[in-house]
Amino acid sequence: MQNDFEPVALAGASDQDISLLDILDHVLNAGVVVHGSLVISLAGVDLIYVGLNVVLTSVETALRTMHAEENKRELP
Amino acid sequence: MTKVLAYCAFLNRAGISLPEHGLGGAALDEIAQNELRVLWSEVEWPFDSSALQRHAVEFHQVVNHMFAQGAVAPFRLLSVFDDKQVLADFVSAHQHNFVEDLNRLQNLVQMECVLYFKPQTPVNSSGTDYLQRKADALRGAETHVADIRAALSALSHGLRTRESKNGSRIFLLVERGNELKFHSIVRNLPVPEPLSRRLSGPWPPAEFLSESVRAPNMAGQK
Repeated sequence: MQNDFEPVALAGASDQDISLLDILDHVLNAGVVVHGSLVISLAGVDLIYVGLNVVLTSVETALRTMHAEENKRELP
Repeated sequence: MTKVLAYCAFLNRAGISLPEHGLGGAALDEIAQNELRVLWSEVEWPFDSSALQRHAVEFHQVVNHMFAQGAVAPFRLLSVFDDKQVLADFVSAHQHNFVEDLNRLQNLVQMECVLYFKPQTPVNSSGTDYLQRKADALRGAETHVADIRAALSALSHGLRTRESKNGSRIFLLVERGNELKFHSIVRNLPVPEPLSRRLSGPWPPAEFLSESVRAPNMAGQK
């Protein structure tokens, strides 16, 4: 099984020893929350401890939900 | 539809350089109110999920560019404002708290140590054995966290821990320039089996933002 913390080669990134999962964890799970349920629903999950596929699946599911909500909002 | 994506807040100082562009090559702009500046760009919203990894790296690069020059309060990637005016209102309403945090965290960075249960592949072990080993490992993690806390006491300007079902995560606030000392001190502490340890940083000190900055009252915003 792949280590969750295995560094991932990032094209153009200078921080070679930072894994993609580290970056995802920090940009999605740390910092100022200014908008809504998506981030809050992710905040309960400590992303650093779950596999990358799980993270992305969770995010993709959340994004799909947001797409649906946005579409509903646009309906007259 | 376009929305306004905020990257990070930082204090106004002479000679600050801004990144060349934001997500997807978008032009970066800033809102400045008194000594506070907030970097933002317009983005297509909602994000295309297939571009999320790229967006995460680009977002990180923007925040990191600013963080390399001083304290920042990073926003979360999926947090957006309806338009520039809403962001400006937000900055106006919360600038005092942001400035206070940024002054407090000036010259400090966040280092991280993650301890997690990583069992060797069992050959003939039962589920009970696995759970027993995991319970032992988590007890070992508590001891190791205490060891790390003691070893870093001279370096630490703040320490927080978060427990999870697989281990512990330690966040430490250190002065800029002490990152290598952090790594050196922690690496000298043996990791109790079957735990694994991962060190990272420096990161913006997001874990040490005050609650009023990390989760500001967004009353009135949809």
